[in-house]
Amino acid sequence: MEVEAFENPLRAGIRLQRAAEPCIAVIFGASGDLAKRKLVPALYSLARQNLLGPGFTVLGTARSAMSDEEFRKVMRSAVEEFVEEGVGDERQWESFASGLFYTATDTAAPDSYEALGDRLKKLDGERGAGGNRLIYLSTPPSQYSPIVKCLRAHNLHRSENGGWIRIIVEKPFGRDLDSARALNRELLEVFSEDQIYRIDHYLGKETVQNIMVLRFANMILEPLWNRNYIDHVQITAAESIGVENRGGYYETSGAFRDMIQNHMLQLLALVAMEPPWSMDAGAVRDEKAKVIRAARDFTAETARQGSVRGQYGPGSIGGRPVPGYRQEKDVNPESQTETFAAARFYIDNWRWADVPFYLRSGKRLPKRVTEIAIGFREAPHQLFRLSTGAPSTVDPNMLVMRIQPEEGISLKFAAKLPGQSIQIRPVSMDFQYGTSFGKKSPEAYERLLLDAMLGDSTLYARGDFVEEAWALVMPILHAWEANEVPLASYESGTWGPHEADALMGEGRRWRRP
Amino acid sequence: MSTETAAGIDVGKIEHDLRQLWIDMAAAKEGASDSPGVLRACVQNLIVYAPGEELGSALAGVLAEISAQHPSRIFLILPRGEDQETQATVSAVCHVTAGRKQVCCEQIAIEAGPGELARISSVIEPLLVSDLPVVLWWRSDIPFGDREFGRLIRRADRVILDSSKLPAEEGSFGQLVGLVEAVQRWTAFTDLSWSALTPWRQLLSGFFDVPMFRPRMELLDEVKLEVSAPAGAPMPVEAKLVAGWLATRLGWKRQSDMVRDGNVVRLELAGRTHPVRMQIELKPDGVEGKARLTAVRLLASTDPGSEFAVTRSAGGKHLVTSATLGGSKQCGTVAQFDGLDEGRMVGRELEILEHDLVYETTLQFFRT
Repeated sequence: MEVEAFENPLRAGIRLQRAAEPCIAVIFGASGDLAKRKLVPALYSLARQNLLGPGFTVLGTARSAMSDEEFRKVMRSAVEEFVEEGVGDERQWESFASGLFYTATDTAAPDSYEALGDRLKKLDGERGAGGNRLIYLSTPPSQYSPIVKCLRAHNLHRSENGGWIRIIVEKPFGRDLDSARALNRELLEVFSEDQIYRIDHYLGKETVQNIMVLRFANMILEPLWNRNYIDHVQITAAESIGVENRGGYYETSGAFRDMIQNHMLQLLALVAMEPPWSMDAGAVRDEKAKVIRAARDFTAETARQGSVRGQYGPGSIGGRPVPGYRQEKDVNPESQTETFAAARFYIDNWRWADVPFYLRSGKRLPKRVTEIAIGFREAPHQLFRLSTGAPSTVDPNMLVMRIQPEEGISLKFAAKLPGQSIQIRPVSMDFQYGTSFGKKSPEAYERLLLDAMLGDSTLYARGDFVEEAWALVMPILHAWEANEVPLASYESGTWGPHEADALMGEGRRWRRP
Repeated sequence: MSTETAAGIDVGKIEHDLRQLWIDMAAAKEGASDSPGVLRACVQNLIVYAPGEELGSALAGVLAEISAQHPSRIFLILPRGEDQETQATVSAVCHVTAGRKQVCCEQIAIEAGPGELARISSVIEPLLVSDLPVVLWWRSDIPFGDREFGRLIRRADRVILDSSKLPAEEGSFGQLVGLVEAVQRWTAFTDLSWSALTPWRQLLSGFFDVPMFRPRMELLDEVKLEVSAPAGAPMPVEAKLVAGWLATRLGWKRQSDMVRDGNVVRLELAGRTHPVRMQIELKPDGVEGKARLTAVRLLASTDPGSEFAVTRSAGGKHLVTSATLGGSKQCGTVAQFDGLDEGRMVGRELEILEHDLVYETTLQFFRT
């Protein structure tokens, strides 16, 4: 349901950021990790910036029983731990906490949803939320379908007094194409597409949003942004940590499902998309969907040749010895789960024909870094010579967009070393967020939650993109499941298996971030 | 590094000193493996006119705080008497980032007598960093009509001033309106008194984001502002700006001048469908110091028992909102009123690159 936008004349102007209408944020899985680490801290930060209207309410729910007071205590501890400034001002915390409530629900106990409905109605009346609901499924994916069915069965998927209802679901959106389609189908039986917000927290990162600004607010880059000038694109999402205490979950996922199928394909789409005609959600998401549709399908052969999987063995990180994946807690000692994945994609359209996009992600790599590196083509004719008379080897230009840490952009180009002869060295022109803008970027969840309350889905994944992304990668997953691509081992603290270098082919190499 | 000359300010020497500054800093870091490298950063030129200040005063801390957010080439103009020496001193303003990088920018402090000040823009012009915005922060009374002030304003992309520093006499606001209008095409203005009202405006506008409250906006016909002020104080600029903002945003036209009757100032306006009364009450608090806005109340006489109010807490550290509909109290909020220090406030203002059209329209309300 399209919500009619009201233009509040008092809110006009550059200083007054758009604030959300009052609503009740119903958090399923409120006793879980995500609610404590990210959701409630983000909501409190928004409240402190006066971006949540009077009457903003959180109704947490989970299977365990808890009183409102107990819930407030738990959330206070969470805010103290996960918000940099902690609770800060006491009065402000009390004002926010007076809007926190809890009720237990269980999909196996229909009465609990009856009680949930009664509580929502009561809170609406007391708090003036106008029937607006933001439903957040912060639960294991296996719970999405039962919860949504219960909401429908108790008419909680509709607002009684004309408010809006939106539902946020966390990744993973399915385990494969069939399950992603099934999940979408189940959600769409109850909610319309424009009510569904599939969260990908990478899209909330400041530097990811900056990709569009860099490309579409600057004239100089767009003429070069194509196959005539770009040799290849490489996207890296590296972590130095292992699976820590998430071994149980990771065994069901692996690096490819955890990172490449969702976050990294979103980054690829942002790099490869055509300029949208407007910045509204529909226009931007249309262009991203076109990229995925234009991606070259994998055959059994190209899936084998164009992908690499690896698993970390023992090694050292930052001078400390670390165990291998199979020695980690809750991991099968004979596990075949990949902790490193790399693949080569092509986008078959006029802009990108024959330009490979290399994506890699892994755990226990030497450092934590996420970056997009655009490798330009070499100069067509090498004018400069070494003292031996041989042509000078000049590294091609590279534009690097660093997503985390030390967000920024750098351009590598060739410059002459001062001196009598012409000696060429690569130099880097840097822009770093941290040094140019001393202000701290907002947390991704703050931006994403506010956008959902404002009805802006630009930074959320659309259903068609999710399904197309799954369809694209299924041949790779099938090849891996059939063991057609060997699981290569790599030492912790290195940049992954050697096979990933071979993926690049002749004349190209992975950038050392 | 100091450049002293009896004949005025030596721009060439300043340029040399700027170059030498970075060479010396790099040399100092060479071989020191445990210390962070030095990064030079600059996103703007910041000209600060600061009479009554000294090098190394509290202003230095303010500029350091601003530089941490917006690394700038800073031109610090320190007016001096005729008999005092003119000199320009080049130094680095540095901070260490969370990533242990030392980020530095340049400061050129110019202590100048009236003669040099009359030509100060010609000293600054060649030293401005190309392609970066120029911000002029005028920390003093506004010298309407002064030629050099006019030159500096015309070079600036943004001017930061404080309308609370306007002279108390009638007409000074009108002069400010005239100034803004005259240079609007190329210069944007930041008024720190207006910026300080952002939390008030945020909370007042927030009432009408609530669907239940929206219909009341059209019914509003009375506005009461309360100001805590020392006895005999003039009407504070904050109250004028809030009054002007509400009127211009809600389409209310002035029907009378502001009329003062003791401690109450009244203003009659015409709304779209009905008259609107505005009242600013000064409540002497016996305390020396600046007048402070303490409450804004919006009422509708045709909707008795309904009021939207933002009030400042007794300790001054919070703004409390309350909405009452038909005598029944609705949900309110408490916002921390952090009373930003100067460095943070100016730092926040420097994030704004465009004209503040709402401010410029608000000023128009006071055009005579």
